[in-house]
Amino acid sequence: MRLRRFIKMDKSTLGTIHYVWFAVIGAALSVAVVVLCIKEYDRDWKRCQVVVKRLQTKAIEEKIQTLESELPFSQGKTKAKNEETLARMRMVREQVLSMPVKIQQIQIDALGRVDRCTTCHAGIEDTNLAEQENPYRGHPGNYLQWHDIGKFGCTVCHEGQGLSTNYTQAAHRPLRGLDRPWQKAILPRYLIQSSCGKCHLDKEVPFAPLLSKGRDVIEKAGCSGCHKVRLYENQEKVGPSLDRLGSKVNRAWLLRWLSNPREYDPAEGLTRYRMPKFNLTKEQIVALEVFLMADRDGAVIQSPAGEGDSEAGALLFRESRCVTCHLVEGKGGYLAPELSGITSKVNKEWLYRWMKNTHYFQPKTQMPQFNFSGQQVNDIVAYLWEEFQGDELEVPGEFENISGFDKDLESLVNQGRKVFMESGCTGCHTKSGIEQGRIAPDLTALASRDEEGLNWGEVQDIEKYIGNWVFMQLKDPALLEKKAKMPHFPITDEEMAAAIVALLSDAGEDMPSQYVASLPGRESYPDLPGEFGKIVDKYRCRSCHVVYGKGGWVSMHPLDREGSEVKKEWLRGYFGLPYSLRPILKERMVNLKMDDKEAEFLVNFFSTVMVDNSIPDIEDTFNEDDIARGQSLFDKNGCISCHIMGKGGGYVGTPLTNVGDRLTAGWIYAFIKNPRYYEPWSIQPDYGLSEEDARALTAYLSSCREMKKENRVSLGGRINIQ
Amino acid sequence: MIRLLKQLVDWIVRTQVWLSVFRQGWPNTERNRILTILNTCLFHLHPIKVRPHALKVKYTFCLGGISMFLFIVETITGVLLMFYYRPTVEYAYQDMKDLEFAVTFGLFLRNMHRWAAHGMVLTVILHMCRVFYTGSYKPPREYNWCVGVVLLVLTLLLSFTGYLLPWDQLAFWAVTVGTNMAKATPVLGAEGPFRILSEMNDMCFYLRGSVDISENTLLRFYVLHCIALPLAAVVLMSIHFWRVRKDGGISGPL
Repeated sequence: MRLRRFIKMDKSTLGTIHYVWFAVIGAALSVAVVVLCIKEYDRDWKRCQVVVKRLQTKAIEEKIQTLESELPFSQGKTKAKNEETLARMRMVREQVLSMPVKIQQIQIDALGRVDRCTTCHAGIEDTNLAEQENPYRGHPGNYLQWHDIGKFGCTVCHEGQGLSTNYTQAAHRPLRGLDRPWQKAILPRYLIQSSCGKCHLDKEVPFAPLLSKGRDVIEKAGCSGCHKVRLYENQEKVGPSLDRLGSKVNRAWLLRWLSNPREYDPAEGLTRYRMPKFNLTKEQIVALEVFLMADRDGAVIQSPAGEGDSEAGALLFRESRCVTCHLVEGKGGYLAPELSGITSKVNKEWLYRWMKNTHYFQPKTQMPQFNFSGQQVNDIVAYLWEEFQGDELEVPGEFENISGFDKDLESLVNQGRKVFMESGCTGCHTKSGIEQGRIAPDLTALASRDEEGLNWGEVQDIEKYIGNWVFMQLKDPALLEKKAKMPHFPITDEEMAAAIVALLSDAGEDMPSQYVASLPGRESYPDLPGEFGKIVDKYRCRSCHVVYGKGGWVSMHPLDREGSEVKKEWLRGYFGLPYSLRPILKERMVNLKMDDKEAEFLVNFFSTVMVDNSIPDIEDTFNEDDIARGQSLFDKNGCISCHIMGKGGGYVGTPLTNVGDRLTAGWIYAFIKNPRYYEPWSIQPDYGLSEEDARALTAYLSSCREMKKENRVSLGGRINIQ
Repeated sequence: MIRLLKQLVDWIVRTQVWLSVFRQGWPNTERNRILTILNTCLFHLHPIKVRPHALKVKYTFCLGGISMFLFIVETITGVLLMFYYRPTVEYAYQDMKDLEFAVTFGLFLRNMHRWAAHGMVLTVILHMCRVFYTGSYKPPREYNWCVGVVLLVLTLLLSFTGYLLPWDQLAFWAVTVGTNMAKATPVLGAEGPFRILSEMNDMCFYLRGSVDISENTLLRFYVLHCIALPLAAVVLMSIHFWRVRKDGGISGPL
């Protein structure tokens, strides 16, 4: 009765239509609540975990079945082992089955990261699932064995939004532009190696060829001359000093070189000449040329006394092994410039002075100071002039009638100096009296650079991310900015891509020290002290050899434990007349024409200081039984397939004929016992020799000597060749 | 049975607890109804009498009421969100992701807070339009119009300060742009006309607590969003509703 009255009253004021509305909205809200609860319960990752669990149990069950079927046929030890494996597998299966379906997360306080990636990628650590599709897949390769997932997590390498548990929100696809709520999306495959570079600070990073190559490119191209680049802050300038250039090169060559270095060296890629092509006008080039040529050295102008004999020069040229470093018509070493056509580039007088006093012209050159006499230099110069004659170069016509060229010398020089500084020549070349800091933008923390502010200039139809921007800078900077100062480097697309990977490895993150992987003592190598330092500097040993941790790898033979490795007598002879230890190598020890005192000093220094205490001191006398047993071991292990012994043998290893004259017994023993410890790059197999066998083999090898005891004593002095 | 119940009810309404809460009898006489309204804090904000035209939905569209309702939703969801959120650079974004992916109904909570905020901005503006079109800003309601305008500004500020709290790229740049505008303030901004202040002490600096958006900004916006602005809004709303009553209830039709 009351209800009816209520309805009646309501009808008069609001009307029944509102009841319908009320019912509809109420029902809609109820449905919404139900849908909400279902959505809250039903998450994608739950399905992933269920599938992964099914795949994992399937893989384990298959293994269990094979083992069970094999069990009746196995016996004894194998049976016990199989039973143990079976029991373990059943335990693993129980573990997998009892895993609750829940959000998984890896929390790493040291990195400040929380990764929930394993919530969907639940089987990432299971090698059985390596063939499955994502997200059920196990991680390919051995990366998770090297990097414990509990210590590293996922996003430290892959980036992306580790806290999210669905595909889009985890930033599997990079979104760009204003809608992007996060800074870091998951790295695409071609950039993934950049993450290795966060912790691996060495130049060579194992299993990251792109990154290693990129670091090599950065170092070779000398990016750090103009830009600040992490790891290369203290790199030395890559170009030669331009002091006294006016006495060295001729004008026509310099003009051509400045306007297009590729004309002289057409090779693409950072092979030998790394001089980039600058975006300069003709007037600027002429001014720069005048500025550089104005710096002359009076002493160089005089012609050397006497005439050279080119035949004697040819002999010296071969004897000194110039081609170990220098190119001749595209063949030879890779450290030093091409020699053919040298006459069209440099002055004869300069060449003479250069050979006599190399380090006066280029204090940082890799070329050693040879101890040639004046006549010998004359001979070599005569030979070079005759053998490597190039065309006479002319000043290109376009430079003849340049406006402003009629200006007085001083204003041209000043203009040239301005061009020199503004173009960033100082990034690679030193020139006394001109000092300036890095002129180009800082490239540290490149990966965390804000991409919104990048200037894309005329570039369109390209994904606008920082890597592509750097690529365009290297490819054609003028497209990004009309008056770009960035010069064009002789660099291939592959090298660009590698360099970008290396540059993007710097995200400005400071990795905790326990994560940083790097060889010990990479910090700095002070110049070597005393007499030894002087000799190493004079002969530039470090151009080819590693000496106390620093130096080149032209020779794969660091000198740090030379005293323990070779015999004094042999070394003395080797300094007098170096020969190639491996005939198949084109790089050979250079004949430095060291004088006796220096050689004697080095021999003594090596044998007293540059020794390794882990190499045992073994007496050089062995009994006949050991030697015979060693010989049979030598034959049994097939050493002859790589090493020359006597008349036959392979060419991969060093010849072992007369090896007893060269190597100490201690070193032979230590090396064959553990080759990888002493030379990790060596391909010498580790036979796992017992101490006895190693001793026997050492005995045999030490007995392989040409020099009998009595004439060994007499050959203690230097061998002089005529 | 009914007698028992009746005795029970009689006993309850005579207890001191009951009498101290409900100070008059059932609102079945005119006097008791008036007393009920006057003695209850919440009711006394409401007019004693509501005229029939005020109940017509098409006159007010209940926009003020919806705004009030959304404000309550914001308060409830906001308090719940505060349990999970820490306003620091280190944790803000992480907590937001926790809410989205790990807290049960966390995403719903966030979305509710977000959409209710959008809705509130909308209804408050529509409410202002309604008040304008029905001429309700005219005396004696001019004072309440002004209070309403301040409330509108507070609503917008609540929205703006809340925008930074997720601490993602969107938030960061939106607030960068938003606070940059303060730099262009005449006299008080470092880049505005007649500027007298440097970048280190202009309006923008005080807004951000630093030259760029930083942890200071986050904390500043958090405190404003959760304490200062809602408190101000509650006080002003109370005045606003009370004033509606004092000005003779909802304005009549023209």
